Amino acid sequence: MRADGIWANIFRLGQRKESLAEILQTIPLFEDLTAKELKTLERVVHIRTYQTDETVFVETEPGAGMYVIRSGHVDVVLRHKSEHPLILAELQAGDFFGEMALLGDTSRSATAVARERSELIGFFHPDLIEIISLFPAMGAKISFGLAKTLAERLRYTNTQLADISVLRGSYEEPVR
Amino acid sequence: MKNLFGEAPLRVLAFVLLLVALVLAFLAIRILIVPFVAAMFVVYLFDPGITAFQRRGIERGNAFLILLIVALIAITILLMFAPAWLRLEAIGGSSDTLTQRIQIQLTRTERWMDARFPMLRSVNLTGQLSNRAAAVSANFLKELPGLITSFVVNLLLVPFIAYFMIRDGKAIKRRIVRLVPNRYFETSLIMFYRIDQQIGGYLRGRLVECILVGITQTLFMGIANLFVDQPQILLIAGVCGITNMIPYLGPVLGTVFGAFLYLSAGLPMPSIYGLVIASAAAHIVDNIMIAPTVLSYNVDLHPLTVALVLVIGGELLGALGLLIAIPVASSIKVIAQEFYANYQLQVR
Repeated sequence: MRADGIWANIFRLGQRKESLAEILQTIPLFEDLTAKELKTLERVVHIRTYQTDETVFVETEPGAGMYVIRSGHVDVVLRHKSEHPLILAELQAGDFFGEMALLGDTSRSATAVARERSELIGFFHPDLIEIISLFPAMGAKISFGLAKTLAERLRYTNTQLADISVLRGSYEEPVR
Repeated sequence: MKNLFGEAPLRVLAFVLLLVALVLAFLAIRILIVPFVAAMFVVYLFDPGITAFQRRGIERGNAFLILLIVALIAITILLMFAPAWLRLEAIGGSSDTLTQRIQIQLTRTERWMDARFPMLRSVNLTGQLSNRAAAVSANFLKELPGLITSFVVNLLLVPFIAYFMIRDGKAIKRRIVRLVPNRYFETSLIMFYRIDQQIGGYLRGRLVECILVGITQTLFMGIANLFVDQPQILLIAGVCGITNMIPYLGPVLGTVFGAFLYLSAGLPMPSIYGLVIASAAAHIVDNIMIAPTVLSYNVDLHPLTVALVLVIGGELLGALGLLIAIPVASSIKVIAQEFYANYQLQVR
């Protein structure tokens, strides 16, 4: 079963670029960073390669941060390895996921699995804390970008919920 | 020609080579563990300063060098302009050796005990104690040059190791994380971060506590110096500050060192009483004011664990093992706590 979830490609950009800094710049979290700051970010992020069907992270396990897909495809799945898994999103190069874990001390709400050989760029909570400590202005830009992204996700979820409520005929005007 | 020696001799040879490698590795670790751990202390102590320099665009290695030079200049200036009573002057006084002085003191104590508690006369405890103490103190003096040499070598080695740990530490950590399989990558990253935070907080706290205890001891000995003669205040306060790393035993060790020094210099007993009172006062101030304020991470060890760890540390690395046993044990405890917390989170 597949569903359109909150990980869907609402930030995906049309054109894909090769350079690490250029890929990072297309991500809303890093879009305000200067070229010099992007170079700093390049030194901080982790490049990981996942084989077909390899798990990136598992639902309920502690999360450390977010991933940007450099190449390949990743599925975000609920109840992975159960009889009825629910695919929340099918992500491709240029998409990102898991950004809520950047805030620290959170468990993963879904499992991420590489559908094919994929190269991911990982940016994690300790990296963000280090950036905030060493380069406060850069840290503020990323934190603001993170807040904007989470707000966008929330707005999208609210729209989805409203649509579902309308479909079920249970939508009521809120009392003011 | 295939298998000239047969398979078994090759295996034996490989086993022997492995054994030799392990023995050499153990010896190397034994020699390097003390400067390595001491360098780790230096790294954690200097880290906030290095971070401040890094914010201004100065590279980590250079920031450490600047801070080290500033610290050395500050210490030199402090020693140059320190009040006369603080300086490392030579202790004058009786020409008796430490052994003789201890024997004289114990004989006096024995006479005092005999006069007041005649029933203890047959035990001759003081006589036995006198021989034992004389042997221990003679041995201490014999080993002192070796200890000083190893201390000086470590003193030179520590900043050298610390420099490379500061300069390349992050890159090495990244390389280690890169080697971790994907399945455990995130967990290892979180573990590294939390352990670094906890150990960093703990070691920095302990180091600041030791420095403050050293200063407090200096002040109290300075006050005692107004009433009785207290030479070598800086040396004794420094040793008291360093030995304070060892819970329970540390303050006693520092005071015993001072008392031995005063006894060997032939100073009168009131000087030793002054030292003991100053040490006790510094210890009380530490327990009431310094430790609760400075130690942000509570990694208290059970007294029995402390005793066990000190025995192991002392057995493996001698006096320096005693010094590093508790911080190392505390670090291991933090790592174990993190593993357990992580496991609990996964089970939930």
